[in-house]
Amino acid sequence: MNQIQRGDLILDIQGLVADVAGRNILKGLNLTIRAGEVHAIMGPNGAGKSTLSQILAGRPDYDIKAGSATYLGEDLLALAPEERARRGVFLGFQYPVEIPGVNNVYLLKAALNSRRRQQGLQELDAFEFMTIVREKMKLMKMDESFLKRGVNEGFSGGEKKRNEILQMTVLEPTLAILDETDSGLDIDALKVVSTGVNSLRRDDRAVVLVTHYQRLLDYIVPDYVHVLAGGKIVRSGDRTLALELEQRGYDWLIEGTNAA
Amino acid sequence: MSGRQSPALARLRAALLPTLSNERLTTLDRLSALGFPTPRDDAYRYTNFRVLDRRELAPALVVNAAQIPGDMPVGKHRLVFLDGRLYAEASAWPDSIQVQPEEHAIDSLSDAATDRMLMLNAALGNHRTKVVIPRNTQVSLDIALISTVGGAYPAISFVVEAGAELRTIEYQTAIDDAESLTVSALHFELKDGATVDHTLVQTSSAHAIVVGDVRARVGRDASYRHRSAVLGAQLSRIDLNIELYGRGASTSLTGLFLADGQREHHLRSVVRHMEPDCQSDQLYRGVANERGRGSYDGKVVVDVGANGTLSSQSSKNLLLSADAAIETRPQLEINADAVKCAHGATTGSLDERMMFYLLSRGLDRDTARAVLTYAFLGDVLTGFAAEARAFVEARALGRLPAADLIRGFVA
Repeated sequence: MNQIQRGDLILDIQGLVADVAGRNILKGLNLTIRAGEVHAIMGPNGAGKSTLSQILAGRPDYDIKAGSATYLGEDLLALAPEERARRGVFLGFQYPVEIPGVNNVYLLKAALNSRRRQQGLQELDAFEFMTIVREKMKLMKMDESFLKRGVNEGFSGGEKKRNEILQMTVLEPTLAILDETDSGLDIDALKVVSTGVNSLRRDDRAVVLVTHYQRLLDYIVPDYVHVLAGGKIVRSGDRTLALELEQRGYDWLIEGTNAA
Repeated sequence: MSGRQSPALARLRAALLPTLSNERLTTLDRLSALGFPTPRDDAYRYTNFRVLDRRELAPALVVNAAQIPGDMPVGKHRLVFLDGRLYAEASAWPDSIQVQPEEHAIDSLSDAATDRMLMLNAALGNHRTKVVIPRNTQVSLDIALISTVGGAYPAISFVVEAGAELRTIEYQTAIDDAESLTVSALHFELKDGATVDHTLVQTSSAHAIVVGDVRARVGRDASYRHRSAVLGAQLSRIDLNIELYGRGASTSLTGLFLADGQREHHLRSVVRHMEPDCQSDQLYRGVANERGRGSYDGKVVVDVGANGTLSSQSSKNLLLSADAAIETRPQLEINADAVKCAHGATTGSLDERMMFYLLSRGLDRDTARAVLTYAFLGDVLTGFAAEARAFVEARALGRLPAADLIRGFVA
């Protein structure tokens, strides 16, 4: 695999149109993400933010009607979800599902090794793996007991989000999409989660933050801010756009779209 | 009642006529007149034993001196039954307990006289092995029921005296790939404050039919616990009849089955709360794949005056293919006040959200399915004692796709 350089194209979405259960949600969405960048996608509820995240991760319940998504030169939409994950696409879920009886740490190890096989790297043995996990857990201020529990089993909302970010920091994805990772977090948890995300920032990776609120962007400063409304990106800008949205809300942009 | 005579039983009667006692002959004739149970009988709503009409039912004449399968982790103290007969050379028990044969008579057991599979056991079984666990002793005594060909009708009755504790793991297997039939009767009498921890692990070969009739009469503050893991046989059924006849008695019934290929696994339980302040809990998990079938049919009866009853029933089932089917019927019959009875039953396929989560982390589809299936059984498996659990895990895992990939996944 060629080394990814800062500025290389990671994800290129063109004219994406998608339906859920017969209802049209994405209506011709364009978005370009390059290595080294952090993008924030903001927008009102029901705009299609979560739909976009889920489509990029490969959730099957969506109907792609038109458009394309190219990830590192490959047709992302043609890949199965597990193939996307192995190639370095990571979705941090808004509502991580509880899977009682499936051990958290075994899932993490299987996930990491499936990614390493794809990269042509040797699988890690238990000791090497635990060394990495312990280091990342320290970063995420997580207790060792997390390792022994079932995946998200009995976790509080904040613990689930932390667990998502722990997985992300261990898997070191090329493209991390974090769907409303900040929702339901108190300020301390938000800081920890932000530390995790910031630790991933590197020239050969990109991060997409899907969020409803500006607050997260105080801790993870984005290079670009996009407003997703009515199934399209209606405005793009730098960080100041997020601050403006906080002041003015979304209505002025949505009205603007309708007028145009 | 079907009322149709069974051809297999008619043949059997003719063959055994010179050897059977009058009492056994009477029992056989009663059964013969009734025919084998079919779904027309409410107690057998999901199980059809008409298939027995095409089976060789007679016990094997010569008991093969078969060995205990090497991988069966049966304990030092054990009762080994070969083709239904106690095999003393392979058995051992502590001096503190009594083990003795007794004439097999079913009339001493409540309701047993009406159960046709139990009639078959009583008519054709060798003799019943009676085990007495003396007051305030603790005993571990495993049971191996090993069948080869033909019919096997082992019967054991335990009397667990006041304050005594019995822990038993029953390994039930048919070792030859023959059309064997095993109908076992394990009956427990628990005196005041006694406890029994009974685990049943069934791993019979693919053409075996296995029926286990389990009855427990549970006295004051006594506790009967039953766990089952049903993995083998072509057709299996567990019949649990639990009578909580002493105040404060309790029972816990849990189990799992894995019905793949064309296997059928059925479980029926009747738990009767006869006195106040008794408790019963049931937790069952079934998995069916390919053309597998299964059922949970559980009834809790609360008698008049059994106030303060606590009872729960949970039956959750997982279908892994379109041709698989599992029926579930939790029933409650409450004739008392101030009782708390809960029940829940579900049957469905793998949770799509869980599947997607595992796929999104890079697991392939087969591994994800196997991991989720295995995790589904986790609630029940965690309750097994270590040696039985390892034995069950090794066999259950081996039957799931991607078995070698998922070891270690279970929390």
